[in-house]
Amino acid sequence: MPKGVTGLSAGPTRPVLRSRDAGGRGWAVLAPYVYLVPAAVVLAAFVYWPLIETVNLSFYEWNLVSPSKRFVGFANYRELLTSQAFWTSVVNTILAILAMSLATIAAPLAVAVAALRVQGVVRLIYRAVIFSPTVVSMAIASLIWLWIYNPIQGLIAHLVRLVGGQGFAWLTDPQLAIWAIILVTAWKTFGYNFVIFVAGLLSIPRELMDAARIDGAGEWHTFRHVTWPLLTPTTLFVVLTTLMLAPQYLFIPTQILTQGGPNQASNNLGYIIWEQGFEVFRVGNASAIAVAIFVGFLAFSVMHFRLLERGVHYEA
Amino acid sequence: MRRDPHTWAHPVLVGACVAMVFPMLWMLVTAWKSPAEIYSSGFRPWPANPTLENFVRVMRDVPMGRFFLNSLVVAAGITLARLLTSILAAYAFARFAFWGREVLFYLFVATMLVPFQVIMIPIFLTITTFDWLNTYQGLIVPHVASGFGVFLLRQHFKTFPLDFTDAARIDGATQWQTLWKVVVPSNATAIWSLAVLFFIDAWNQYLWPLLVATERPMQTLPVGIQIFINPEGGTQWGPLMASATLAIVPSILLYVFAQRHILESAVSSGIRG
Repeated sequence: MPKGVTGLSAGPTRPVLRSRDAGGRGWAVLAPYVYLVPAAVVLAAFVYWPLIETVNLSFYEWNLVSPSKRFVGFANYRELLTSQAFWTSVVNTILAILAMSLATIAAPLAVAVAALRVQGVVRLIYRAVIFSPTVVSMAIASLIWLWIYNPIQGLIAHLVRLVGGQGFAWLTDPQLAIWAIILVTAWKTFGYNFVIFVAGLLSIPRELMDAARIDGAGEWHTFRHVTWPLLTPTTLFVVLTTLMLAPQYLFIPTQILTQGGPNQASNNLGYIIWEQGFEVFRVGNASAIAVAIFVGFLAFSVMHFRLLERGVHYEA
Repeated sequence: MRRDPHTWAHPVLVGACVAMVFPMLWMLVTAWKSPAEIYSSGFRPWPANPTLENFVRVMRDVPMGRFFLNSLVVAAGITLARLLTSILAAYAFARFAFWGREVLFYLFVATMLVPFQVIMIPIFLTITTFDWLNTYQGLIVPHVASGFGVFLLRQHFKTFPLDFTDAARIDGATQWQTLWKVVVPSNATAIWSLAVLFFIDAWNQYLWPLLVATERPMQTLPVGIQIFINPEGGTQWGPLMASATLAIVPSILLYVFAQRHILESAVSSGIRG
């Protein structure tokens, strides 16, 4: 991928073709818009219009099927302030982001550093295996973990019994349920972050590290004072991606493993819109939550793009 | 470069590999176990008498072929349509000067910032209004444009030397012909990588099929195989793991054969499968 990844800024543009095709001036002016129409129609109908409609629905009370909606003003938003399900979801989502920041940054980075010690084909094999969960569908992965977590015949229950413990019910324990979800999400994203870190480490000029070594810096010293600072753009990219995408990644494992239970204990911002909209049929409430989440995460996204704009880039 | 005997590197890497692979291995092991063994209290990390029983039950009890077909039609449909809309729009943004270009480009790219869950309720209502529940168009059409695809391809089309397209146009090619005969073939690698990303993303979709495909004949793999789950405690783990194994095979095959594309585009794009 070329430098200046996002290319979002207007910047100096290359000379562009002025339309001079057969068909005269009219076509020349219209042509670019015609090329845009297919994508534009879809994005307008399935992104922008629904976005407006979500805001609209957030001012109503509606059960998804009734022919009439009741206008309630900001009542749905006021309810959010005191809604236990919503705040449990916020707390669980923050918990998930913090835990995943550790599990999917520190750990993959350590493994990536290890990978750079190994050369050639062996490294490629390690990389391919560690990346593999990324291509497996999250839904299938969650079904496998549902089996692993099974309190009686699950793999974890068996292993716990082997070392003399009692099997415990991960998914029905209010304290543990969210962690079971976080673990699946971390397992699924680990390999991706690992590959990003390997690419980031490879992009650091070897001479800098060798120079530090020659100056007598030890292994850890070189990492701490040369590698780590130079890796900052990569690390920031991983942190912000985790922050931005965590709520979306939480939906599938939550839906398959716990449905937000027991008693809302594992609900989170990835699942709560679905739960409010399609499980308890409170569309207005679900829409107000959707608006809140959108506004919140728009801020993170803007940060993310600002960062990319500065020319952070990666080569495989 | 001196070769350090970094004894810790291999154990760490092997540990990471085991952690990544063991759930899939456990799935495989379970798929080959007999029900008696799955439900016995003893623990054995491999099947005592490997049996095809679970696979036979999967093929007998659920329309696996149909689920495969549905997943394939939906994934291929989304991939092709997204590529087409992205190529056309990216070409316009990269190679034409027109009024409103900057604003429109921002509007296209900004759609990446809208999480699907935020807008899924109105989209679901639209699909219901069209009477598109349990249809391929209902599963496919909401996903056929991608701000990311437009953005990525515009980058590639812009950096492509203008001399080539100019030469083609001097030879009398129209813009349309230049796009398909010069620009697209010259950016084949980027387009292939994008296609692989789109396909994995579409193949792995779960939330939308769960909403739209409520009838069994229209369900995709990850939704359909959940027939083996029984929340009251009677989940049939053997057939569930056997069907999960079958559902994973295409992803693994694609990964093996398109690994370079997948890894490189994952790294350069920041999109995950």
